[in-house]
Amino acid sequence: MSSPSTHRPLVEASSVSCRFPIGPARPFGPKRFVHAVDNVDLEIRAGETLGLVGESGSGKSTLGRLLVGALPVSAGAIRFIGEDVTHPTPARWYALRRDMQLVQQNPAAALDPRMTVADQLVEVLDIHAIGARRARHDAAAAMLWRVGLGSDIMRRYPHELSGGQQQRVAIARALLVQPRFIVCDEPVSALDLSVQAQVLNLLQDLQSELGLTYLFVSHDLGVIRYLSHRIAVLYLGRVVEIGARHEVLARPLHPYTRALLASVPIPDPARPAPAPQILGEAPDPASPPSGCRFHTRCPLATDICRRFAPPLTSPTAGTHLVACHHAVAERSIRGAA
Amino acid sequence: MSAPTSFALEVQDLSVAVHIEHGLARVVDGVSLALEPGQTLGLVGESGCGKSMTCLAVMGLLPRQAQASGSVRLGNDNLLALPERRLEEIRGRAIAMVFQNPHSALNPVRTIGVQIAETICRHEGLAWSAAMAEARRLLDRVQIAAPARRLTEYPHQLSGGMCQRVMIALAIACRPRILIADEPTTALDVTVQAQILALLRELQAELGMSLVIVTHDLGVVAHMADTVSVMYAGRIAEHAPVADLFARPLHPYTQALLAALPHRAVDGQRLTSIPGTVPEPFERPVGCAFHPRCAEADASCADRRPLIQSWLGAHSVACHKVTPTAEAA
Repeated sequence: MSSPSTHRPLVEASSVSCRFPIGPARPFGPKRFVHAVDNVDLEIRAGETLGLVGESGSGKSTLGRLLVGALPVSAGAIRFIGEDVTHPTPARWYALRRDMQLVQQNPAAALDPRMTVADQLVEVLDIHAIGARRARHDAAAAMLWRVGLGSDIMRRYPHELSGGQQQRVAIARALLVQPRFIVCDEPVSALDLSVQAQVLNLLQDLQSELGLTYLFVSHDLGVIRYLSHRIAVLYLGRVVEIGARHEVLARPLHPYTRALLASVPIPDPARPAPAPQILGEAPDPASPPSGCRFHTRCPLATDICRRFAPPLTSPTAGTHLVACHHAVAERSIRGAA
Repeated sequence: MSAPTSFALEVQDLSVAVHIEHGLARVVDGVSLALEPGQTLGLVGESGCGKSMTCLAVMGLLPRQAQASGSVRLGNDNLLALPERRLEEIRGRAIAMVFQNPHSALNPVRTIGVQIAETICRHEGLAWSAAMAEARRLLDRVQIAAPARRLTEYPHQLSGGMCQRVMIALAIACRPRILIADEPTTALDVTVQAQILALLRELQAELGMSLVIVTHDLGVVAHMADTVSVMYAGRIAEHAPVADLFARPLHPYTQALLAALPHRAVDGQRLTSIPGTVPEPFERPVGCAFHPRCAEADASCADRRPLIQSWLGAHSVACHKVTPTAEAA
């Protein structure tokens, strides 16, 4: 897999935050917010797949939705090919759907249960007035063929399709507007292993044929490893590490990334069983820990971690960034010696 | 009554038929399993392959519209033939189960302490205060911090990983000989999964339990199981010691599953996918259930159902294309 590192960023997020109001802790108490995404900087280059990995509650789906404008940004800015799309006018937001699309985890919920496959595909072309009206049905059939489905399913309803077929229809629907950027939010998590491989291969093929750019959100490191050019690791709404796939996987710098990688059971009985790396579970995002949000579970945590949030910097002066006081310190000690 | 089985648990020719709209669906179709004392059996398969139904049949917890046939041997007893009263004594005491979704398996309106103490009272006949003390010890044993406080809390106050620890505490409360864990970590994050799997291994060694671990995750099976049974469409496709299964999968389905794993993919190489989808229980193909998706299938596969037979020692497979050998080539 060659990394398209020379391309300019297609999507940029600068200091993006998203908070959701939740009920007060006690009646008439002060309003509380969950900071699902907190001050995230990210850029996605044209033609690449950025894998976004994290555990439940890390804000990875929220971040994906923010980038395609499916959720409003609370603070910060999002740019698409240089254009500020943080708060677009309704007309511009509408037009942007042709450039960016979202493929969701549960295709059964993403498709309209009361419309046939043909109707919901043609509807997309109608809304965006793509092609001549009479040609739209054929265009839909051609796109289905492209994702490996026969035209016989055009007349069927989503409930008549298997999970894998439903996800292909959802992908076909996203592709009909010829987008440049697709956020894939756990697109294969609901699928069985044998079908998962079909959909992953399809996404790979479509990327090389159409030059698509993906943000691929998943909790499954196996899938992320297979598909990504670069990997970003999210913990409680913050990016803790980001870099080229081989760098993050072979030389993880953040203690959380290391724990995550070492916790994955590799399907090979000859390897030792993964020993529990870190204790406990991620804290409630509504009341995140002070300083570095990982310090409550971190084996390296010291006083500075409890007091100051570490910035995302590169200890190697390269493109591999990490937000950890100790990863940086370790490097500078070695550098000084 | 026949001679007692030497296995901790022996399932022979188990079938489960469920009444549905379309007629009768054989969700489990002639499954045989054997669990050695103190060992772990991994039951692997995709959704709808009948692995959970097999467990429910073993526990005698099948829904009303399902009927089981065959035998489930535990010591001298065939569990399928026992009256409900006897089963109630066996469940929890001799054989216990941990479910996939701990939040829905626990009673939402009763405290953790009451739910555990209730089980202990019922099976061990302890007084309530002694049962509560035992419940506290159990929570401590499954590494729940501040067990005394947790006893008074409700399931919604606990995280997913903590709820699964409570489920495990409940399951081991009466020191069962056999523990069935049905996708125990599927709903959990991977760092928590590692903790729960380590806990299960520890408890197994401490209590000398036999473990059945049901999962769709070949990574979990690789590190938990001694032997593995692979299920497809209600039937056992292959059964082997864990190292043999991963080193030398014989059934085309097992081979395809391993080849579809993104973990094993070489850089830049496409994943091997299996065409088509798992058949519904009421439209299973004749002959070998896998033949419509199998690259090696021929006329005989569509015609006759392959029987499971030993290929070499404990490694057995149900496939016309694999012939038994005296020794591995």
